Amino acid sequence: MTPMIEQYEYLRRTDALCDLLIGAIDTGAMTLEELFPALPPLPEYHMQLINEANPEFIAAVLKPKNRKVVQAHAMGVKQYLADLEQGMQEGKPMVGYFPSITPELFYSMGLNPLSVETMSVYIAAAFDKGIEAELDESEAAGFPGHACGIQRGPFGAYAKGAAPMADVFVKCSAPCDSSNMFYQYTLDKYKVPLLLVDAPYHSDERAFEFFLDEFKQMLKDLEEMFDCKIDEDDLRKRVTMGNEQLSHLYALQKLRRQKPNPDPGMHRALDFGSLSVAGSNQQHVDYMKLCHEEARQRVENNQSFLPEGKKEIRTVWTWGFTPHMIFIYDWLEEQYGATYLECATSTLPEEIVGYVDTTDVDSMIRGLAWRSFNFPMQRTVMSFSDVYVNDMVKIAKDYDADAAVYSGNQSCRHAWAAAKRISDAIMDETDARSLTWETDFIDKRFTSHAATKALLGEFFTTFEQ
Amino acid sequence: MLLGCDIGTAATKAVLIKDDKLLHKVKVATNANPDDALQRVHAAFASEAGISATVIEQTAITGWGQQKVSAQHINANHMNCLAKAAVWSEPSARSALCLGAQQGIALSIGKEARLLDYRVSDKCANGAGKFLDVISEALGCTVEETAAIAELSTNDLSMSSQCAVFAESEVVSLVNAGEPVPDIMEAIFRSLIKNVATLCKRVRVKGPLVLGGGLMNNHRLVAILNDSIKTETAVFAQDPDYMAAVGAALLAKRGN
Repeated sequence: MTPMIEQYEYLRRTDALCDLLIGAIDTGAMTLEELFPALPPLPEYHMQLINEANPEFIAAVLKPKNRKVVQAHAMGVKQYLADLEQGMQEGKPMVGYFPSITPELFYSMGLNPLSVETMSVYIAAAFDKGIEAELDESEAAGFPGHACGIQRGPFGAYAKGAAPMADVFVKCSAPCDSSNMFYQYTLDKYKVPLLLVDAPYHSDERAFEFFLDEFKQMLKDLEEMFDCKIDEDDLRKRVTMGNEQLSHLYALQKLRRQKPNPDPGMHRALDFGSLSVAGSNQQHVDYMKLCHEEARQRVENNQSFLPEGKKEIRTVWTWGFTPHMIFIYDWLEEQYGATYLECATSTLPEEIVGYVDTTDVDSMIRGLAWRSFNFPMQRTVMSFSDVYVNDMVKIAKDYDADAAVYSGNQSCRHAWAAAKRISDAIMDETDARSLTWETDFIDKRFTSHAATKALLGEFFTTFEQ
Repeated sequence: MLLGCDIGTAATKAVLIKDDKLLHKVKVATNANPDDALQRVHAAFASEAGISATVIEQTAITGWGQQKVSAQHINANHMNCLAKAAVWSEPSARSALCLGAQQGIALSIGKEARLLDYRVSDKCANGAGKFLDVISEALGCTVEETAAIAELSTNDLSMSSQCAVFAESEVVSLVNAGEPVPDIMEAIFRSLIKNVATLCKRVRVKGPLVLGGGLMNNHRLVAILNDSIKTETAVFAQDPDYMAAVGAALLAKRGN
């Protein structure tokens, strides 16, 4: 039987990308020059993708500091898509979800979850042309061009029939205008039901109880819509996997406080991808475990992935990474010794988020709701900006940052409002200087790779003289 | 002897310093050819001051053309150049502002001329010399004449456009409406400084604020700036056009 995901270009490209990454690293090649002669014969579709791959991305992937981790991550994504395929074959209802709600509950209810926005990140990162065609398609289909590419891409993919339409969408009303627009536009255009988990303005106990009620209502609605129930054993198995994934992330966050930082920056984007599908498969746990293990070994052996003699510039990214150029973090390490400590889109503070209690269904629902309530971006935009500012200042202090970088999309309005407060507070509290620049996370045409390199190069050179 | 060179898009400014003292300075047109501009700098030093290139121990280059020069040199970070030059000019400097042809830069400075923070003006030309080029052409005068013209202003006009392109159209409309040129020029200056003041606020400038870049040769603009930001200022000790070039020479001294 022809795999169903092959009917959808968005998924097919992501799946083939996983094959290519896994296969490329299996060849043992360490550079682009070594890679191409070493590749085995490939299907025509895969060959075409190789021609479209971004050379800087591939070169960064092949480096010793990244290769095993990227391969482990690709296996996790591949499994996620295999599970999606199986769910489609079995006719399970598909849930499109914004990743601040992780998918453990959906799986345990016999539903078929897909975070289509996460797929945008992979495609944009790996390919020169990325998802620009889908971005243009989204505008043609009426979605605002000033919205974030992470949402414009999937909207265009739906318009082109390049992504499977969900049977229901689930999202929190936080974090951003762009994601809220995406789900509302999709509801309006395709008449697919949207279950909105209302995120209150405040970030206190009362607010959480409200959020928990909203969360439970969403689950009840799903049960009624699809006549399904939570399978407690399956949920416990998935929550345990998610907890294990987090245990490695928390350990990594501690290790990144070491000097030099032992965890390469390109992995932050992968961390986000892995967190957004928490509890989906063991391969994603293995990915995080491998990141932890490699970083631990570097610390124990007093090793650094930075070029010899390169002084470290410890950098906190006060908003997000830039998916369409995740190789830039390797470039910054190699050129300037700039390491990536943490960012607002991949950090989960252990002392706040902790673990999900697996005692019973109620405790697991409560724990998962608590994690969503404090998930990257969600926590950032709730309440007064003090929560966001204080989180970033705490990271800058705890990790002894030298520099801070804020790069936002024009529609990250909630974050732009705090950008100056964050840079001022970090300067006042830690003496670390900041760079702020505007980009699109997915659209390479907004701020070009060359312009981004020039900006970042100028900033990090200031530390050298 | 150290050569500091700021290769901008329009002009290349170069200084020779020895023992932290400025010996000579020259300015040549860049003409989109940084290599050629550097050669003409050497020729100018030889002809104007009798200084041969062979006595220059180190060359540091900053600005747009720094990556485009093939001769051996040090690439001096532009922000660090401005911080070093500001403190060279005014030892107690806490901030600097440089308004060049293409962009404005505001920076705050810590102890030992350490760069603390900086911001560069947005993509828009307002707040940079190019803006004044466009407007002076529309008003039929030279950039050098603009300060004297603005000083003749007697009425407050407001400009609604901050973009150079739209402002040019607005200027033409105001001229056609019979508004006096001095009032229009003064309104343009205030519009430009409004953007610059915002840039200064973004790095929380403190006095003494050292002013550099070609626009700071315009005494009317400096006066409006002083009135707007209410911070102690000092125009760069030599010609403000040479601020980054002096900073580059100082960085050459450090051997960076």
